[in-house]
Amino acid sequence: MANENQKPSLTPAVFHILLALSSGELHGYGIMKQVNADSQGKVKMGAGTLYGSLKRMLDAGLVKESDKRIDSEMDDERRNYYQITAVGAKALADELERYNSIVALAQELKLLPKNFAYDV
Amino acid sequence: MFEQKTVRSFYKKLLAFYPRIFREQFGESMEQTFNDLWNERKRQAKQGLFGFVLWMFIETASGIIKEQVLVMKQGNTMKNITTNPKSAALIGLLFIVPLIALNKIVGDRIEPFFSLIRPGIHTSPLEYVLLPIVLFLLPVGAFIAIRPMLRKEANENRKFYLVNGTLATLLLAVFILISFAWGSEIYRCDVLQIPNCD
Repeated sequence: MANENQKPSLTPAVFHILLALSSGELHGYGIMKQVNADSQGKVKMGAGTLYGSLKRMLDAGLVKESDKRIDSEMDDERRNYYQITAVGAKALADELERYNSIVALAQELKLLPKNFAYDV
Repeated sequence: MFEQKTVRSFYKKLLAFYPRIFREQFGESMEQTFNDLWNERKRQAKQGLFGFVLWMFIETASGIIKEQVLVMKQGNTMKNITTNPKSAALIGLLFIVPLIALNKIVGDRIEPFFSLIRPGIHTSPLEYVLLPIVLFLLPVGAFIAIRPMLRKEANENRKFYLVNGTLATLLLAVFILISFAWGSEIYRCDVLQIPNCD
């Protein structure tokens, strides 16, 4: 039975968006590219998932909108930028801690594959 | 094969199916993201655009369904429908349909409304039980019809909608008329026990 004080785990989309934003402010397309890079191409996020998740994250206070501005590397269109909040950073840290303890347990039980490079 | 302008306009049309609040908040950004992804795909000449377009449309469509379901769960759709005068009038009008249907079923057997309000040889006990239920729907329909008039506008005034007002009056009039007829029938036949009441 789940501990009542335990916070619910983040969805994969929310987790990856928070991870992408942890390195700085990004616009929608930037988040997609960062998620793709962070996951080495394994996570492919579409616009529907991205903006649906962003809406819920904005409502939950995990991220906030920054000023609308132009991305000098792309074009002259003004874009909405998103940045992680303190609540979002805490949620990400909690989730990483949860992953960490799961990996530690898996290591203890010798469940990790031999070529697993992660050393806890 | 795919014209960016055409596909972009289709994508914009697809975004129109998002709930209004969502569309206002993210619609422009989603269009920008679509264009960015399109340009990226075009630069990667090896990859075809058909798969990308199909994936984007399906992925966005599933996002639309998800957002619409969430809005419905929050009850915002019902609120929007009942604050719009036209849809409120239409929904209010629908509340008289069960009574008309019930009357059609039992009323045609001998005489409208009288066979409806008196159980007996012409009306089954089930129909008798159904009558208060369908009657109760009339004031509910009237309330829904006048709901847009109860809402205060930005200038703190309330607007009057003739169609909604007329419909609500009609529904309440039918409710009072049948309730009175039904009540007087029960009073005459069951309380006073007048012979040959039916």
